Amino acid sequence: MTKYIIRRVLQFVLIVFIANSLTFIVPRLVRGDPITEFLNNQQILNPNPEFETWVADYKARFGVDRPLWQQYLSFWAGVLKGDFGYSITAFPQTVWHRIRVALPWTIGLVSTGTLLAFLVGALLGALLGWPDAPQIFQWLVPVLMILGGIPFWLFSFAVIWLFAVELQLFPPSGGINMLDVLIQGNTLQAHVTSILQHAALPIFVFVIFGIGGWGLSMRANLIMTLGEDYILFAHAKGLPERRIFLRYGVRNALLPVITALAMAIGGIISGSTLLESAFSYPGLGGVVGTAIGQRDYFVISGAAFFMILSSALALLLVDLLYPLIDPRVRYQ
Amino acid sequence: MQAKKLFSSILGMAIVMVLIFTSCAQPTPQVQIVEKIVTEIVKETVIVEVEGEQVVTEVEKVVEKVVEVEVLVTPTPEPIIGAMQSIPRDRTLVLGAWEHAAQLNGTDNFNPIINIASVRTNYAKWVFEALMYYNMNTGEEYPWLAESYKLDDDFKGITMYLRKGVTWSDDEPFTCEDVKFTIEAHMNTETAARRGEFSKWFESVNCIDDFTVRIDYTDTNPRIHQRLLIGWENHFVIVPEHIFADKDVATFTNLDLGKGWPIGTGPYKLILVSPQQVIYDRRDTWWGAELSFMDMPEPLRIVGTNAATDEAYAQLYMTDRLDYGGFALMLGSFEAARARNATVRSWFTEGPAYGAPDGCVYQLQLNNNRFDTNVRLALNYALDRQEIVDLAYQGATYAKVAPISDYVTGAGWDRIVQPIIDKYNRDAPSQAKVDEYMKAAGYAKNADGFWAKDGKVLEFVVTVPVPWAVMGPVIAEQFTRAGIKASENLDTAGQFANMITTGDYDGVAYVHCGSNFDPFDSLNVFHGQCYAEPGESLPAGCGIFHGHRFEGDPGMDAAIEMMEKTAPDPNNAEYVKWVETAVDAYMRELPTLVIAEELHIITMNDSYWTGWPTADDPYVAPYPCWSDFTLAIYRIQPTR
Repeated sequence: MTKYIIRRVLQFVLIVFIANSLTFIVPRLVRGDPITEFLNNQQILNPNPEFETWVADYKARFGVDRPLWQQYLSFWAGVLKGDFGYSITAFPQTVWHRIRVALPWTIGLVSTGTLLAFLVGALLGALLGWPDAPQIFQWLVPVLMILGGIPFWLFSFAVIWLFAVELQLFPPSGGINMLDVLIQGNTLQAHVTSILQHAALPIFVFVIFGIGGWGLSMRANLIMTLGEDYILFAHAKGLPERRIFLRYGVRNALLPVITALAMAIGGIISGSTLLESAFSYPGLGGVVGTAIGQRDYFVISGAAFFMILSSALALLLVDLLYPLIDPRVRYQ
Repeated sequence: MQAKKLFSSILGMAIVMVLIFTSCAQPTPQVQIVEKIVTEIVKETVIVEVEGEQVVTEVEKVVEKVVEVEVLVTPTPEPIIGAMQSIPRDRTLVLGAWEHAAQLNGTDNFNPIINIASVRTNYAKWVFEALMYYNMNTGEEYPWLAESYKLDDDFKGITMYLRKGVTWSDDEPFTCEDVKFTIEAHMNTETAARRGEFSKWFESVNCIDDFTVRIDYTDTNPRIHQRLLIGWENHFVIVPEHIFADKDVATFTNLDLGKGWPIGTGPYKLILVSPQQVIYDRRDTWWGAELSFMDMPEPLRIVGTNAATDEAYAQLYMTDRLDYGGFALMLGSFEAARARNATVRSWFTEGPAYGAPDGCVYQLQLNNNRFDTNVRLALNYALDRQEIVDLAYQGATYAKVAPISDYVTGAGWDRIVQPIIDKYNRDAPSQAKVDEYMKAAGYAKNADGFWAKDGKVLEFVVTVPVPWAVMGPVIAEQFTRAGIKASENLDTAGQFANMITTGDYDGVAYVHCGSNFDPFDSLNVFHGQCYAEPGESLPAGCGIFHGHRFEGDPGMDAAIEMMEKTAPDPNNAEYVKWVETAVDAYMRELPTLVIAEELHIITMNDSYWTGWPTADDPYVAPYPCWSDFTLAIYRIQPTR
């Protein structure tokens, strides 16, 4: 068992190292130089007759005037100290600041959405796969497949249009509206209400789209489980249907879905860029999207570090915990 | 075991809730004794003389007394949850930032010397003020922190006279030392926004007295004062020397609400800052009102907010959540917003060209290392500008052929420039002229109908950065139609500036931003000094707008050099002659292909506030990201 854990932890370290190295190197292989690009664009606002000196100052400040291998070592030294440097395009803002202000929004939105989608989806999927469930559930299969097939952003616009613009039940964009909060006395309740109001529509969209995937995979697992000998044996023993469904059917069918859930939770930090963009939600997706568009190396590397870390950590935990969940899997 | 787990969970949740409540608690008011001036009506016995006789009478008199009173004082609010006053929506102004982003840019730094975004995007312009403001529509200057200025006759220096009686929000007086410090900080700080220009042109900054600033230049420059005194997209605001002097300007963030930072001379104070909203409340006192210079602005609160997409801004307008600004809407979004909310409008009331000029024009910037005059002229006649306007911009702008924005031509230069433009009549698409100029350049059409020379087909890649993406396909199609094998390269990675600098491009469709005050800066970019040989990068000091790789025209170069050293004046016959020479050379050579005026649909909502700058009342250019937009805050009135 100890060997197993050590091997998995080493694997985790290797994944984090290789993935972060790639996110460090790949953006730098793209032609051009983002600092000159950024300052060239700044020239439109502030013409600088000493442009070359300006570029050189910035390059020295960001350390990109040094050979790539030195920059690479500095990157890892910074990572170990939790210092990801400055954003190129939002200088003098630090990368950590950009991540810090965005991360809680993404975690809040995506984790709530993932868990809700999982709970509803898994339950629906189980009922879909259970032969004794009411017939109406069978009608949900095509509905779930259709929902899973509509483009995410298109559905988001439709939801915004209906609930935010036409009915005006929810705000169309943002994460919180401090104007409303202050009008309502700046109380904790006003803060929470505003946050929930703003999160309602994106979470709704997230859940609707998530249900399809979770539901269909749970249904497939349950159908396979129901074909197992022990289910037949349970029926032969005359156990109550409810007990067979919950204890022998759902419980065993959930195992692979829980693995997928663990990995989905690991991907929470990666967020949902399109969803955040459609709702102008202030999460990490927008920060990363902008950074990629502007080739802000430092923000890309900083944000990717947390995404990689959380995904790899989730994989590690699944690896370590799975033998506890499923006794058929052993620490080997 | 189960009970223990349940207990632990409840305890954990309770701790979290307590932490939340503790962090969000209202600051406790404290009793303080303060002096207060009260007025009382007292009766006084006086002796007056009535018809030569002295009479004792009692009169009422208003007197002021200083008394000590107990008051409840609430500590300065924390940025997140605290005792901030509730101001109704109809006294609050909600402004959108000039960007598409889910988080406001630059909200952690209110040092305008190193973070221009703090004044440009998140509206710190309500805290910091400029020396003067400017109406680009009329050329009118609005003296503000400076009352007047005088340029030396030889343009080798400037003397600025500051307004007396101006105070910072912490009651410190505003003086020449603040101006001197700010300029020198820009000159001496590596990453300062204005370091390049100021350190190049300013020899020294001195205070003649508390309210007189003297700046000596390193050389003759009749325009550099515009960077100090004229707003536009250029933001030069004065910072308090008494706050900044002992700080490292390069790292000082100037943000500490507990200390009242940022300290400014403006009528608003920052009360809350977050990446989603920046909120300012009107101060009780402001020097402008105390000096009877201006009335207090009407909005009691200003909220700066933002959205990530064009559609999201439109939705905010539809639901009255935005009063002004945001990044300019696209035509479709604007019309959708207006259809839903009748109080939404733009600079012009009638469309589709609703927008206001922003001082730039759309252009196809040519790499003239690759194209001689004949090919350039052929490309020009292959362009159908009106079709680009109609297809790419849905008619929301108008065609243009000279690189001079409407702000310049409207300032008295049109009568000089327009006859030359008319003489050349370059905005007239013609396949016959394409054929004529391509043949003159030595090309012949091949079997596929494409122009070729020495067996090599002329290919043209139209690189187009994302903000101007709509132009790319139309231009490529027009060139192909004319026999020039063109394709579009959508620059999603923002590499166009590097391509221009290094000369690795055929043409880039984006903007040409020159002067907003006279034709000089617009024409200066075509001076031959910025020519670079193929494969070489642009010479030092030549930015992307200079990257046409145009060898220059001797007459044009000479005229531009004379213009550079002379104050612009459409009534100065000599200056006019140089402008005519340069414009004539430009129209003859067409070193770039100007397509249309760049108009932005700056959106405004009359639901809560009215009195916005419009074409009918052009008291200031409408761009919320420009320094001068500050003036609008003193004009708008609540509608409810």
